[in-house]
Amino acid sequence: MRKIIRISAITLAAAFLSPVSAMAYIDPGTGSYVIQLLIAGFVGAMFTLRIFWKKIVRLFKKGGPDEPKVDDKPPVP
Amino acid sequence: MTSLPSPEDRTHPGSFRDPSGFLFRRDGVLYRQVNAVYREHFDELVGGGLYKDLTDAGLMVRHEEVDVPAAEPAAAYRIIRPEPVPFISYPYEWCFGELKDAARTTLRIQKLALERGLTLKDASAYNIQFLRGRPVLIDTLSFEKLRMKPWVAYRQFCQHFLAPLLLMARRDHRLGQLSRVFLDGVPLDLASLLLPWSTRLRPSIAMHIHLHAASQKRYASKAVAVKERPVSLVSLKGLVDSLDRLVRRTEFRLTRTEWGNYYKETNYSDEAFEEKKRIVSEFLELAKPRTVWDLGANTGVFSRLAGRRGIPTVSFDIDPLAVELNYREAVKGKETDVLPLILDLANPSPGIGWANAERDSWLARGPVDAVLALALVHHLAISNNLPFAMIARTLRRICGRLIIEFVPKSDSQVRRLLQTREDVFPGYTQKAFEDEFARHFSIERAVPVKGSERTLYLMKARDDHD
Repeated sequence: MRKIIRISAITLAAAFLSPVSAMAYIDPGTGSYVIQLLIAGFVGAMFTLRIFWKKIVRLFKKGGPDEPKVDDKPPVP
Repeated sequence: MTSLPSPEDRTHPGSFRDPSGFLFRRDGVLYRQVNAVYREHFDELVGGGLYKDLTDAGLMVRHEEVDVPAAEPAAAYRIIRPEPVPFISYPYEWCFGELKDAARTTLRIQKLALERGLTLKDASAYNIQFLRGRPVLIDTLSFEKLRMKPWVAYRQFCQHFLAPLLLMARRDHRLGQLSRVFLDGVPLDLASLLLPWSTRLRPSIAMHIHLHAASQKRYASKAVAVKERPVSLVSLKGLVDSLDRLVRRTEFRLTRTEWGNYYKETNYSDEAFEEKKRIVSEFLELAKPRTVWDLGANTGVFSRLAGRRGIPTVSFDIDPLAVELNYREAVKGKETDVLPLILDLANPSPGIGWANAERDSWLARGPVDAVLALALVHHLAISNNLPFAMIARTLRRICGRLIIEFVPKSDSQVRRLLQTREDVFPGYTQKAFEDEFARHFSIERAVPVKGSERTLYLMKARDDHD
């Protein structure tokens, strides 16, 4: 699974790997907007898969499904 | 038309970008005006439960709605009084761990906001401050109602948090200082250029930094009609989750730096070290400061003497590793009164932003009740060639009480500093030190540290100083 993700990401990246130069005076907002539209499906699918996977793991671990939690670790203990 | 703020109100010079409202100070109290244009978002934040979620979880400062005249009545909807933050610090003063925790706090807030039908419209690192040892959001007006559109603060999050964290972890920890140059965070094209090439093979870094930078470049110079395509809630949550996983896995590799093992290498014997702690504690009891700055704090051993007495203490050091260790110790001990920060005393944080006033300089954030300057004077006087007169004058500007240590030339640490340089410091004597400091302070106590050649002083600022 990790391998597939890695390969697809590298392929996607190859399309953009031209050297990047600075155009700091222009608002970079549009590009940030567009990239999100591009990756929305991917991050959404990964998120769903991870919840689904955690559900399965919990099912086997505790013998019953729990509330799915993607990350329950607080940033500061 | 909005009326001008009345002359007795002082609008905060760093609070002008957001039309939703602004901070102002009246009679020494900090208030935030919520403008009428922000009304529906503010009501949703407070009435919809998110405010309670965030304040209960310690992720945002609490505020009180108060009935005081508005600073700009024509635009006002509400006036709130936020809980004060004792010391405002900036991302370029945070160590890696502090920036990482601030980043994760921002993402946790966004996650909770999405659950309540709201979203962060800003993800600026300056909106996070450390209160009682934990990062909290201080900008109550950072939310807006969720529309199924891309996350508007994504770019800012990547520039303010992700790029510097990755640069520090994967290139060089000193690159955290880039935040001091770039007010709106590290430009992503620069981050992409500086990160090792191998980071392009990590899907999440490739996506959030390299592709993101490329996309910015691609669309920067052309006017494009971006299709209004909705983004699902799952995608928005997925984006936060992806960023959080990346931030969580980004680690600071600990290496030994110049002073990292200072306490293990110092010439203090265990006995003398304990003696020094005892004397400093005694001085703190005598001075009873309400706030302390520990300058050259290393890993914060002496800051803790103040912090554990419940005195809010800022623990400054030049070495990012020492600050990192200090912060980890504070987190581990759930300490609420020690804030470790990176600061080069010979070149402290300047005032930056518009009119040099958006982010205060280090000096402008003083004065403080008491300063600890332990094992510091020889670094300033010998490593930085600073005359005693200049050191004394600056310390007088920032504190009322001074706990300072004199380290003589015969001390092995000073001999080490002089090993590779010519001794052009004939004036570096205890007598000259006392004479110069006595012009600005009255010396209340001078106690030699048994088992060493050093002396600890308790001084009080003189009103009639030169």
